[in-house]
Amino acid sequence: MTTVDSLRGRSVLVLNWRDVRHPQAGGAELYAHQIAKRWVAEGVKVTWLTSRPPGASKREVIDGIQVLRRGGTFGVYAAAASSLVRFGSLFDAVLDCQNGIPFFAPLFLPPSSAVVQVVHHVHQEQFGVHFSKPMAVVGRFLEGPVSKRVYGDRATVAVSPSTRRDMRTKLGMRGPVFVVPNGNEPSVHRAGPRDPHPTVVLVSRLVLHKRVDRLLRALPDVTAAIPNLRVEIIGDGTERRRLELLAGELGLRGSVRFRGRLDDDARDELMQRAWLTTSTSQGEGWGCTVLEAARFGVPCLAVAAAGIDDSVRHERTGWVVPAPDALGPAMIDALRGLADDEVALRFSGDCRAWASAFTWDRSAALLAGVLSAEIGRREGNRAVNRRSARSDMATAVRFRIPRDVERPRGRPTDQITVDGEFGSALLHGCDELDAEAVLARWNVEPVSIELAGEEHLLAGVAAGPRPVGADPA
Amino acid sequence: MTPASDVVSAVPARSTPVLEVPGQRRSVVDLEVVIPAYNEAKRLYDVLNATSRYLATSPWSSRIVVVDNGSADATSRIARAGVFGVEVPIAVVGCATAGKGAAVRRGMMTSSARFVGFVDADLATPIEALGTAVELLENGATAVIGSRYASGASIVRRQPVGRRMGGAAFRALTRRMVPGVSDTQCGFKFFQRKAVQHALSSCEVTGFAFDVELLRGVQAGGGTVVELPVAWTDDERSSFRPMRDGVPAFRAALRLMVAGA
Repeated sequence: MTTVDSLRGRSVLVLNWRDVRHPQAGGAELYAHQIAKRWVAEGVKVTWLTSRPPGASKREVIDGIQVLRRGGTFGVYAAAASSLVRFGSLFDAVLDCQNGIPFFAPLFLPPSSAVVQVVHHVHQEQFGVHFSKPMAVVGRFLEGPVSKRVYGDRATVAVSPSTRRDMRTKLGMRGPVFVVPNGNEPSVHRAGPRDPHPTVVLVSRLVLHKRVDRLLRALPDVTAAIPNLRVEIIGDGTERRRLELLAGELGLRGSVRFRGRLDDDARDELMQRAWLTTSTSQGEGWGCTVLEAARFGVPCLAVAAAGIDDSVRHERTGWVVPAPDALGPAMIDALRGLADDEVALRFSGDCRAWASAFTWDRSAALLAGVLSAEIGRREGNRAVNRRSARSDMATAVRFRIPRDVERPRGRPTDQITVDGEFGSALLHGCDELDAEAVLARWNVEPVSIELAGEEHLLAGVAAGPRPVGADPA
Repeated sequence: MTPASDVVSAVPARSTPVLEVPGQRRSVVDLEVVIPAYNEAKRLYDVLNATSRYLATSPWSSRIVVVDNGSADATSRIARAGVFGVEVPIAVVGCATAGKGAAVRRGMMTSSARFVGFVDADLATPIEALGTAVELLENGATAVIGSRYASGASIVRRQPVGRRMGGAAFRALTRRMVPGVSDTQCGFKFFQRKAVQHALSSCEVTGFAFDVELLRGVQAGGGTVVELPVAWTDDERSSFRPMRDGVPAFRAALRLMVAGA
C-alpha cells in the first residue's frame, strides 16, 4: 500500500480559511483535517493557519495539528500572506486549500518552495449566486486567470475527475492535476432488513443548488406507479419551508416526510432501511452523501452533474440520468428493479465495495505522494521530473514481480500496491507504450496495461493476476 | 435491470484492457479507422456514431481506434461506452505526446490491419467516401487522401476567410514538396498499412504539418498517392488555432522543404 513514508520528518503548512472546529466547518475542512491528522501520526509536523472566529482561541492543538488562528473570513488571506513572507521558508511544503479563492502562496515564498493547491470545486459560476456583480467578477478573475498565472506549472490536486476537468476547461490550469478523493467511513452491513415498503432516503442541506424541488416534482408520477412509496428527507436549510409547501401542493404529504437535521445515529438508522437515495444537485466537488449511502449498500439515482457523475457507477452502484425530467421514469424503473431481492443484493454489494475503496488512510497517502514529489522537484531532484507534457493521461498497470526482483520503488505519485507476487500502479503522464517501458525498467512482468479511466483515478488499481472485471479468456 | 433508455452512461460497465497480453497488438482486421481526439467529448459521439454505422454495413471487418491525446474531459469514457446497438469494435489507446500527428501516428503504428487511416473528429469529410477509398486501395493505391481542391470536390461550408488565406499559402508552399497532390491537409487519409508504417517510422513532425511529411514519405517509398475529391464541411468548433498551430505548421513545412532540398 502507498504510505505517508515519503513525507515523514517534513514540516507542512496547511492554509485553509476555516479549521475543523470552526462553526461553519464543512467538507473541505474535514478533508484537510482527516489527512493532516494521519500525517501527524506518521511523523509529519503539521501547522494549520486559519481564520479566527469570535470566541476561538489563537492557538490550539487538535489531533496533533498545531492550529494558528488569525484574521476574519477575508483578513485571514492577508494574515496568511504576511506569515508566509516571514516564516514560509521554514516549511518543506505548503498545502494551499482553495475555497473559491486560493491563498496564492507561491507569490509570498521563494520560487524553490513546494506549494500544492487543493481544489474541491470550481466556483466560477457560483460567484454570481453568492456575491454582488462586481465582487463576482473579482472572484472569477482571482480563481481563473490570476491563479493560472500564480500557480503556473506547479502540481495541484483535485478531489475528483470532474473537478480536474473544470480546472482545465474553466480555469485553464496548466500544471499536472492529481486526483486525491475524499475518504469515507468503513462500509457496514445493514443491522436489520431493509424497509418492507419502497423507501427513498435523501440526506441533503435544503439549499437552492441541491434542487430538491426537482425531486419533489418528479414524485407524483412515482407515487402513482409505486404503491406505498415513502420518501424521507433529512436535512435543513433556507429552502425547507418552500419545499414543504411544494410537497403539500403536489399532494405528497402522505408519502414525503421532512425530518430536519438528525443526529448521526438516527440518520444512519433511516439510511440503513432505505432502498434508494437520490441526488438532484447542480454539482459538487464530490458526492459525499452518495458515498455515505453506498457505505450502507444503498444505491443512488442521480441527475448528471459535476462530481456526482464520478461518485455513482452507472448500473452498478446506481443510475445516472442526463436531466431532471428523466428522474421520475428512472425512479420507477429503479424501484421496480430493486423490489427483486437478488437485484437489491447485487447493488448493495457493489455499493459497499465501491464505498470501501475510499479511505482517509489512502487519501492521506496519495496527497503525501503529491507533496513529496513536488518537494523533490523543487529541490532539483531529477528522478522525480515529470514524465510528459500531457499529464492528464494515466495508465493503470498490473504486473508480476519475479522472485529475484526487488519491489519497484517508482515515483511518489505512482500509487504502487504490492500484494504477494502481484503488484499494480497508476502511472501519470504515461500512455501504454511509456508504461511498457516503465515496467521493463522495473524488471517486472506486465499482466495488464490499460489507459486509466475515472474509476482508476478515484479508486486506484487493484493488484492481482487478472484485471478486475476482465472477461475470462 | 434495465433502466430507461435515455439514461446516460456514467462509466462503461467494464473497461477493456487495451493490451490484454502485453506486447501483442490489436487483432488483424481488414480496416482500422483511427480518430485522434483531444478533449473531444462534445462531438466524439457523432463521429463514432456515423463511422460505426457506416462500417457495420460494409463487407470488411473493421475497428475504430480512438487515440486519446491526454484529454481532461470524458473523451475516453465516451469512446469506451461505444455506440448503442452497433457491433463495430472501438479500441481506446492513449498517446502522451501532444499533437495530432503524434496521435495519428500512435494509432497507425499499433495497427495490424490490412488498411489503416484516419479521420478528424469533426468528420468534415462524409464517411461514405470510405467505400471509394477502400476500393482504390484494393486496386493498388498506396494512399487515398480526401481532397477539397481536386476536380470534382465541393465545399459545403467554407472556412473563415483568414483560415482560407492561410490554407492557400500553405498549399502553395507544399505543392512542390508532394507532387501531384493539391490538398495535403484534409483530415481523411487511408493507406496500405505496411507502407504507411514504413513511412511513419521516419516521420518526426507531431503537429498539423505531419500530413506533408507522411505523404512525402509514402511517395519516397515508391508509393502512389491518389486524391479523392470530397464534399467537405467546415466545423467552427475546430481545435485548430491559427497562431498556436498554423505558425508551427508553416515552420515545420519549411524545415521539411529545406531538409528535402
